Amino acid sequence: MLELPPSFAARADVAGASTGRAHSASANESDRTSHRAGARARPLPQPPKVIRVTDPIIVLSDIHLNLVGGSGQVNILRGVNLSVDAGETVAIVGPSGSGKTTTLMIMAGLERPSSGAVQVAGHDLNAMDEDALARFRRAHLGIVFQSFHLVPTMTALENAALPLEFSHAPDARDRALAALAAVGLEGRARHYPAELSGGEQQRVALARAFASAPRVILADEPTGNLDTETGRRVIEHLFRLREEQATTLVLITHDRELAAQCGRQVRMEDGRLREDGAAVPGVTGVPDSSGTPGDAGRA
Amino acid sequence: MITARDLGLAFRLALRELRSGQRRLAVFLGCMFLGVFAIAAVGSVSEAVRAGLARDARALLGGDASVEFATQQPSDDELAWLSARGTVSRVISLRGMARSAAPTGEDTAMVALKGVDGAYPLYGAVTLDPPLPLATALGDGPAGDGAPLPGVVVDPLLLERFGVRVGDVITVGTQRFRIAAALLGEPDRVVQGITYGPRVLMSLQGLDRTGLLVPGTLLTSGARVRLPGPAATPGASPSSAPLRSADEATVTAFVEAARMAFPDAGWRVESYSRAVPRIRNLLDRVDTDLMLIGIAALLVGGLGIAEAVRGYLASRMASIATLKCVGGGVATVLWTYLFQILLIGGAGIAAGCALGAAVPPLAAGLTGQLIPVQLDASVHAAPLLRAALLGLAILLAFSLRPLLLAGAVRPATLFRGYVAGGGNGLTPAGRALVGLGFAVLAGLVWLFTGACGPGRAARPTRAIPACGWGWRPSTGRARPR
Repeated sequence: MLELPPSFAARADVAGASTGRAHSASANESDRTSHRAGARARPLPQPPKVIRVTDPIIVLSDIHLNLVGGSGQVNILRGVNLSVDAGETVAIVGPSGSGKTTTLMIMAGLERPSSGAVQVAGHDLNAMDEDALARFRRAHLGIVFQSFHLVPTMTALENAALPLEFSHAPDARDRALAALAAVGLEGRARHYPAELSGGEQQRVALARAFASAPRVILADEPTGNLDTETGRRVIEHLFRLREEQATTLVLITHDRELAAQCGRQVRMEDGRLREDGAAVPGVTGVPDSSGTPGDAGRA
Repeated sequence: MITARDLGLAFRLALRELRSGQRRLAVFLGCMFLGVFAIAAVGSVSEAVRAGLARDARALLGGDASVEFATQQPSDDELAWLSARGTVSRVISLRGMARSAAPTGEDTAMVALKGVDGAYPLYGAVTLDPPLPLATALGDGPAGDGAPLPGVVVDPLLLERFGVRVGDVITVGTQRFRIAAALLGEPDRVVQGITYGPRVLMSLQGLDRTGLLVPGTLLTSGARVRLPGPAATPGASPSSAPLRSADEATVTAFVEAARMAFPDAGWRVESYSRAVPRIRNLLDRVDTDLMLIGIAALLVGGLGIAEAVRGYLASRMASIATLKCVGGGVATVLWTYLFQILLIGGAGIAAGCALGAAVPPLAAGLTGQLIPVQLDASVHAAPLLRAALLGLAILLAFSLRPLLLAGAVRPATLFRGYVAGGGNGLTPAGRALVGLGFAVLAGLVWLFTGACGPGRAARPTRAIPACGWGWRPSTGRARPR
């Protein structure tokens, strides 16, 4: 595996993304540009200087995240580069504490990197304030958490409708109900989270994530709190909905079978992202319990 | 900038969030209720007393205006001038000794003598037991031994002290009087101030026959004047006078005219609106003290409010972070929880005001024994608004900090399986907002307590009624303390 140089990460990932291969940093720009031109019609409105591609829906370029704690500076991310095409499914695998979740948070605009560029759905997240990020999330992102994170005082329908309501969508409830129906929970629309099983709660979370038809779904170990069979059904819903809506999916998982369902796998180790092939031992035999020195908890 | 649609959404979300977890806000609700109730109750009772005073001021004074003559016997010119402008009732008050001639033995007591003419009382009514017309009671009539004697009505205390009954005879000065009735109620008793013994009420003619009205006697000689109402004519008898009384401007004009007409008479003329300064001063002090206690209770309760709000918001931290994760803007999320605080706090304020408003009717019986003023038991809006404003200010001042800290929760922490609070502190704008909340609270406390507390004459008393929240000052000038 190669670690991509920050200055060229996007280009290399773009080329490798669709094929599932890691690419050399020596790939030239004209090759990449011509390759992208036919497949992508939608240019980024404000392409950042360091990222000249116009069509990947997610571009992380040389992302560093350093936190200063009581014991000094901790480098959480050490130059992450990733480019994800629209419609791609990407699994991020790697040991606990390697920086997977932090990378996902940065994609969601929930964490700001110490340095590096973040471009998602045509938006430079570093240039956006908190309100703009909220608008960005409600318009373009769906997030699925390991712990579901439904609002306990709201019904399944109200939970599913939240992003639409924040967007002031006039048909929020209808669309949320349709989203619940899509995960087989239309009959539980008026139930509160405490009245639902874990699997049902995660399906409500899926409905919430997909209700506004976002361009990107970020899922952080969506089956981590579920038993195998329930998790399997949730994943079926997840991939089916993604397929129906042609949504880009970035998924963190420790489940190698789940990772294998994704079109592409990348491996995070020690704050760096490396392209993984499906057959790479690091993915298929992931000893994910190994933390890395210098990590601040689970990342 | 938050839009109206965002506010509407925040309100709907707030209602949803309030579906559960109110138990955590029980302390909060209790603090709000008790504090607001204390302030509302004190204010309402004070206002009820004031309204009662204002309503009964004429009766309390005994007329629209009172005149205290400088001499025992006013000049004919003075009396003529007064009589030309309204119905006049002469009153002479002095101390004297009464002697009992009851079979149980002789006794003497200092009494507060009061001689009145036939026009007395111009307002209100004298309550006698047995219920006789006052003129009948004070007129000549046969005593127990059959001899015709002028009548008096006396305080029941004197009956008890002398061991005599209605129909028996007492002696005042050189004159024997028959006790025609017990005096249960005297409308102008309040303005008499401290008296040096039980009241003995008699006619002016009877008083003259006591032999006490000699040069050098220490007495108060005065008159009460009832000015004609809008449809009345001067000189009409009180019984035939219309129900409507002269308005305050007419009375004030009369007082000024009296002072101008006889600048050297040395008489003191006062309008009914100044009838009860002592009671009002007492009320001012009492309700200032009680209100300060209520505010202090509310301020201490504010700490409870802050803690309760903090605890409630801590229980909602995951929800706040979730709302942010799924696209809720900062302002919308903050308003969602501010609405919840306002709704719960508003319920406490409403309950406190409602119960505070109910206190005057409940207290009417009690205060009737303590002060000789009938409370106006209607709902008084000003003290309730004052209590509500203070409650709201305290609610906001003590809630803003925990609210802003909770609103600053980092949604990213949802990914970590725990939710952290809003960092180490407030932003400069947040600190300014919290400071503003406390400044508004301090301003309201100063306004409301300074407006009715000692030295209020030097404070912007006039500005307060203009704002609609303050005490109604009883006079336009500083009152002596």
